[in-house]
Amino acid sequence: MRPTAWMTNSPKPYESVLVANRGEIAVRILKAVRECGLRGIAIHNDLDRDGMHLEYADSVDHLRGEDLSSTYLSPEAIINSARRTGADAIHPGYGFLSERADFAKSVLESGLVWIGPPPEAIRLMGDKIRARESMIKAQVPVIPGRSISISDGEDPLPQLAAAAAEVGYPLLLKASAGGGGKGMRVVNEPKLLRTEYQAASREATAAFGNGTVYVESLLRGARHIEIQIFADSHGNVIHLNERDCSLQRRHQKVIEEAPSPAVDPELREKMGDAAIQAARAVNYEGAGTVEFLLSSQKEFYFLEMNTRLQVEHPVTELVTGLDLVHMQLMTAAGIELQLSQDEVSLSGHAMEARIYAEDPSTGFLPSIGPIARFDTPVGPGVRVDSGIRKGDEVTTSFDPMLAKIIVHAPDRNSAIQRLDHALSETILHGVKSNIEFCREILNTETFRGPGVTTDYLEGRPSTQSQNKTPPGLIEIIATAAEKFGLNKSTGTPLGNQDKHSGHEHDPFTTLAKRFP
Amino acid sequence: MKWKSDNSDKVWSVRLLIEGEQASVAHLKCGDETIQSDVTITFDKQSGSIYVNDDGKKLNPKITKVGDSWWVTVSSQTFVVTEALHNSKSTTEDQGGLTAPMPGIVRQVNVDTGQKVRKGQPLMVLEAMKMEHQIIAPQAGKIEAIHYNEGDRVEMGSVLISIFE
Repeated sequence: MRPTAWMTNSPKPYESVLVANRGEIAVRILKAVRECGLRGIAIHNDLDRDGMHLEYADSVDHLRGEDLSSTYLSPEAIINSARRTGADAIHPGYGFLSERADFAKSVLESGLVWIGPPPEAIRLMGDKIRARESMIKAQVPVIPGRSISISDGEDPLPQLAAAAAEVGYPLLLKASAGGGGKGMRVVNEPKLLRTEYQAASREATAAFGNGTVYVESLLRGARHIEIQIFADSHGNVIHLNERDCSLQRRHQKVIEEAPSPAVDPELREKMGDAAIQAARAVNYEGAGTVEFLLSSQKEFYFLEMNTRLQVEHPVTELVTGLDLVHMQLMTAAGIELQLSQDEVSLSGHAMEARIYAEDPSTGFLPSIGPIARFDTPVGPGVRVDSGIRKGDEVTTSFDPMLAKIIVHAPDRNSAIQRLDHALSETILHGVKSNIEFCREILNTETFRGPGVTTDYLEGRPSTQSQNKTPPGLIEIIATAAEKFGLNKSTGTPLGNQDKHSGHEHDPFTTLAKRFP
Repeated sequence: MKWKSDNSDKVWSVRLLIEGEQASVAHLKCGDETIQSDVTITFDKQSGSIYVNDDGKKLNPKITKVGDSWWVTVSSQTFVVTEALHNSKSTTEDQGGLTAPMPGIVRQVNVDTGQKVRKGQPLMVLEAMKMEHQIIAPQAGKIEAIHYNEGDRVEMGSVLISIFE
């Protein structure tokens, strides 16, 4: 494909992009890169030789090693790979090195284009205490809280008690360098303050190499509302409306939607403005997300800023009609934003369910196994962003988030209906997943009514859906399958099949066999 | 055939009556309980799939064999069933003796020490999970020792009978 005209005429044109990621997000980015007529470069390690994302690249580079730390998580290995493959730019995706300021800096110092925010913005927002301070300065509301500074060997209790007296119970101890629920502890009463502090600090040291912890008031019954923002290198910053990601388990999002049932146009404008303030305060560039907690009294507080593309970005794409990855590619080439705040639309309702390889019947433990079958839904307003296909193997080496089913419909009720139906058409065999669990949630009165708060799934038993089939039907079907010899047609040994064919009766399968 | 499902301890036993590309249920048992089923199955050779007719309702199950298990999605619910006798067979072969596939009680001993047996001959009946299991000779040989008597409780993996080839 020819490079797009905007790239050729841009202030900082580039021709090839190395995607330093894998799974569904690497597929998503590589598709956008190639649609723009640029060369897409994918990487993999020893355990990932057949990764689905490699199919979507013009060139593929092998990073030697099995562990993440010497491959996907190694700045040096990735920059060397960019040199080897002649890449002009690096897109980090999400997770891995996407929020590592030192990596962004080395990419720029190597003379490559960094498709992400400036290293200084990443650094500032990565330190939760400094981020809070910048937000207070920029007059963005933050959750009542206090930093503490405990030196080695010092008894933490006096400082903790003073901070606790100020913010009140229940409170939250949070790692300054934290994220993903690590180094985070809820404290309900004074006598647990010391032990919980020690646990949080230990966890933070182990996870982030920094044991600094601060004290924050714990908001109960709040919603997680985040504002997608976008900034260019010419000083323009806009917001692309909110996403409601209140449905979480252990700080991991499960279902996301836009717009939020709890946000009206007036609140949207106020939160949007606050998010733009936050982005301006750190001289942000590119795609970013400002996360807020929204209390039941509709007061909102800054939580943190994610300085990268988010997993749930498709929800925003569907309601605004924009392509966030294209916009990232343009911004990195020095092009000005193509729309003003007034031109940002909010049309209909979008909703996403994340498909995790986990077993709801064992308390959501990760599950592994072969992808023996993966049928995905198609239809009006249905989008599937997936990183797996039949013949792949789900192992414990990589993230359990396998795919996302995203829908768009005229209003919230029809979006719920559409997502429920799309999930009913999503069939995954060989690995246990949360597909039926997501459908159960979609059908609760709370979700269908006002929507949920972030503590909704806490303490909710991982219910197992009632078997609605006639007694013995599954065993009758299995017996019939054996007797009619169905294993010969559907149960072919994994690894022997054509991995590039999504369908059993794909005409190209036979063609490929005839003309290897 | 006997099946165990992933999320229940019950063992189902199914025998089908097959006529051409049609199958009906000749026998259906859940544990000790016999269940009446009018479900019929049609095999479509062309597409390699099967259809279920349940009292005039047509279902189109999606089925996949993964290892020893069948993954079955029907009415948008997914189930995993595994053939129930598989485990006992492999453990007996591994250990060169006949071991208990699950914890239970010896209900019947059909042979004596020193007796010659042929391959496939029933040696013992074990009751476990409210279901009876036949312990069958994996090969022809001579009974060397019987380690448990009727009424004895056995743990999973206990050697029940030793056979000398």
